[in-house]
Amino acid sequence: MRTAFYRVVKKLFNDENHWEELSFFRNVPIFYGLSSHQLGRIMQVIQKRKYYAGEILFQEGQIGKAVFIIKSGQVELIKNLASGEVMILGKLGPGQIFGEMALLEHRPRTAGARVIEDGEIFLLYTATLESLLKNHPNIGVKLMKNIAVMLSALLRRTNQELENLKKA
Amino acid sequence: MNETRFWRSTLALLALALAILFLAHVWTVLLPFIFGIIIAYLVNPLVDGMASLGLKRGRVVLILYLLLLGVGIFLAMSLIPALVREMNQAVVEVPSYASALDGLIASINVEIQKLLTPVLKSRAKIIVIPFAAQKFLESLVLQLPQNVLSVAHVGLWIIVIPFMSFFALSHGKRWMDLIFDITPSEYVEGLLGIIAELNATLGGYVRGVIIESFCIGLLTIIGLLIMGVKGAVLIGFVTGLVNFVPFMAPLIGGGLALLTAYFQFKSLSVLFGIALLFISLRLFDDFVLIPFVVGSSVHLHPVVMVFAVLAGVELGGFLGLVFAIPVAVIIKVFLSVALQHRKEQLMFRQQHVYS
Repeated sequence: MRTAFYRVVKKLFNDENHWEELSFFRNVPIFYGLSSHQLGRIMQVIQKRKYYAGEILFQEGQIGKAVFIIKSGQVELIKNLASGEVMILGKLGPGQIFGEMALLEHRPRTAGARVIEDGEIFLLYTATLESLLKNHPNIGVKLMKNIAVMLSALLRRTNQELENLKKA
Repeated sequence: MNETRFWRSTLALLALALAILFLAHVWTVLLPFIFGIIIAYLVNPLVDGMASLGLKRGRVVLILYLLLLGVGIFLAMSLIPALVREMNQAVVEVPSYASALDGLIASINVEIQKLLTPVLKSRAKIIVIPFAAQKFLESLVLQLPQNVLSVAHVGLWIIVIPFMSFFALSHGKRWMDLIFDITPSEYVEGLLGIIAELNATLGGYVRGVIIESFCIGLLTIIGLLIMGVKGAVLIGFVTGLVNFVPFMAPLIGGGLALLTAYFQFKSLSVLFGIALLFISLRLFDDFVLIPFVVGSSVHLHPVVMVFAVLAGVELGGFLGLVFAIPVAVIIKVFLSVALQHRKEQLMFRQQHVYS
């Protein structure tokens, strides 16, 4: 009887899309270690948008204020060189995050981003995140730790690439 | 290029002017829709909290509405009859209070004349208190509900506000997704910024001001009921309502309470008690409610406040008076956020010109 009642209530109130998106966010590095409820809180302030191939997400030099998380599709990071050429820094796919430096400082973007395959992208604006962190500092501690880990990994990779360049 | 920008700006300004003209023309019809969205905005954190647990948004809103309906019926059954009774009582008693006040003013005027005539001779006649309480108080009490009713079209409001807020709460996220999907990609980050910063600055402020006004209104009712002042619920209700406007709560609420108590008790000690109540409320508001509930993120210059209140009264009568300051705050935050974005865009353009 109790199980049947629970099943009816679950069917009436359970949001399946929520759990689907939650399992996606659980695998995004910046959200590692967050509980379902904490992730759910962040999901309420995240904005979703469809993007089409060729669209520019942001340009190099623009003040960065949002973090982008790719749900589906592909994005390339581009840099304008002094010679006028455009250099492709890398291609990113589902589950990958870019523009995370905007969470730490409001400075011009060091590269631009262009969509190369249609898809959906989540946007998290810094001011929204800051007010969320103010109200839920326990989420903030975990997020900041994850950002630190991501940046340290990036630094290690850059050092490795420099070593490789020296050797070459 | 410059010509294109000129025509684009001209068209944008023309569209803005047309939109303002249209809004000014239909604003009384739009008001319940706006109130519906404001209510949805205020209740949204609660719905967000439930949705973050994995519950369906629409169902949560439905349950919340049923609960609110229950609370609304309870409040209507307990507070509204007292409010209506006190309003009727005020309408009956105001003329007698006012004529007594006129008598008091007349006797003060006579005393002034006695004192000044030997010094100023015939010129002393100019110095009188030019106040006809009977006319003023009658118009204040009798026109107050009339003003509210004429602007509100109560029947329409009762249907439209819950309807609008229900859809804004349950479909608001989808509406936002749609807005973002149709916004050109280069403006997405800017639009997100304006919404996020407005939300971060205003959300707490608007909710805080409503809680502050509710507390002040409730404490006024409790204080006046303890002192046994007639019309405590009505005076507390008006005090809470005008609390949006700085200094208006002690001025209008305190003034009404003092006048009522003066005619009811004719005792200085009660008047002193009421003055003490309103001073304590003011201190409680300044040192507890404003710092801890409202926060200090939004500030308006006093000149802007006075202008906003006068413009509000001119545009919307009593409702304009109540909502002038919150609307002015919204406009201020919107302008400062939009200016910041514009400044950053110009910086970005300049960098590209010089590089």
